[in-house]
Amino acid sequence: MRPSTLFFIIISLGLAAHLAMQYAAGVQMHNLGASEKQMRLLVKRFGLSDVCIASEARYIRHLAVSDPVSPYMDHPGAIEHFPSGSFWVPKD
Amino acid sequence: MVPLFLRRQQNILDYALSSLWRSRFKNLGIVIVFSFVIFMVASFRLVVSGLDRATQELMDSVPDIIVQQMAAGRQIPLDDAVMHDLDSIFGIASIYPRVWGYYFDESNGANYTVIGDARFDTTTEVAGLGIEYGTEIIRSDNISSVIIGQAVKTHLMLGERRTFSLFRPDLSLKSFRKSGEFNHDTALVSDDLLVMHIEAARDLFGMRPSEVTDLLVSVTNPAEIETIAKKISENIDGSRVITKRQVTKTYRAAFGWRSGFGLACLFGAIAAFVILAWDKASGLSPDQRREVGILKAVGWQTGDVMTLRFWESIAVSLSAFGLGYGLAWVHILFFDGILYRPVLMGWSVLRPPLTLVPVLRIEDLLLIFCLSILPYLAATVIPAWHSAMVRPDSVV
Repeated sequence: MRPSTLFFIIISLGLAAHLAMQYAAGVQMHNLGASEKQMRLLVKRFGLSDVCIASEARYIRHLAVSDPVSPYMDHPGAIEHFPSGSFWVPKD
Repeated sequence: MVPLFLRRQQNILDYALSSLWRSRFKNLGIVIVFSFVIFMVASFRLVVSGLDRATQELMDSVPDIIVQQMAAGRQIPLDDAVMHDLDSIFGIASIYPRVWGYYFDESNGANYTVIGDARFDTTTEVAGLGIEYGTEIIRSDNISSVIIGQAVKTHLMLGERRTFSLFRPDLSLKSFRKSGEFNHDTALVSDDLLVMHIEAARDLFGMRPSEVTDLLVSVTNPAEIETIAKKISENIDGSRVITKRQVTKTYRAAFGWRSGFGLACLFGAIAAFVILAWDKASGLSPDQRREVGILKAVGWQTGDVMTLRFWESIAVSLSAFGLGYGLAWVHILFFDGILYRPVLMGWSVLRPPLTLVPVLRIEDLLLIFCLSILPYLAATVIPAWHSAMVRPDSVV
């Protein structure tokens, strides 16, 4: 077999695997549909404003309704030091 | 019949792949390092796309307007009598007072979110919200009903018990009876919640009977939200009025390259590609020069040698791109971004079961493509030209 043919076969297999993962993601998204509907109701009923991903700092847990992140916000020397704070962009 | 041009390109590609195979360990090393960098950047973008999708799905239901009271730059409780100040504003459909705060559990270091709801009287008031009920909601001075999230249940170590106590600020105990629990499916918003009647929340936090932390305002016509928000801020001195648009905007910008972790990924990738490009551009090995010399001696033209180098670069960078991007999908889709979870959740004691579904976005694909394949091709142009200009008699 020519090397280029083998190369194209490998590239095609990679593309096929990627398409299969796209399909799996679609199925997963479809399965989440019911719980997302329930979460929307919950958010509406209790007036929730934020998602519970990290709860280590109040300005990460409730990003939308907290005071803007600022150095020394809690006590002297309390510069932003929580790991999750590095994943979230500070609120404007 | 395959056109002559394509046959010629295929022949050069065959030679390029054979040439790569001859120094396979070196090229495999490049592909692995290259793939790793692409994997890191692509994983970050896929985590961000998954979080974006999950949060934007929920943002449609957030309250139209949230009203808080500020003093000296900090949020303070507001008196529920201010609701009467808003009576004169047309277009407001409803106003609900709420007590909302955090309870720090010293025994395990967890932070719970407490929500005191004014309509928390009967199970029918909170029906259809994915709550598994145990007992009827009751209101009593001695013991208050509460609905808790799954993580709260686990960390309070309730097991089959229904009653538990939390400390008031004066360290006296406030008793609760679990009337229900939020199911696992809604953990993304309910995992750390303790929902109770507003009076129970006031009692727990030691607040005065008329105090609330915020007002939830719903507006009849969504087009009037901004106007009504402006009127509310004019009617209540020192208030902070947060509209649905602002909440949505916050979450739209919450994850991205501007975050520290995003910048670390991006700079890491750029540094890796610069080093790779520098290495490539720094010159040809004697073996490579001799190979080019032989090729030119047997009749290859300068253009053919450049095409050969182009196909070599395409084969290396495309393989690395496919491998890195594919592994990033596996990482997010099947392992829920396990490598990034420690950063995403930090030192949180409560860790909700986050299901990330990656989303294929053309802008992400283009960004990663531009960061990986294009610099690699660009970095090989000059050495390819140098190598193509080698005179056969000088090296053979």
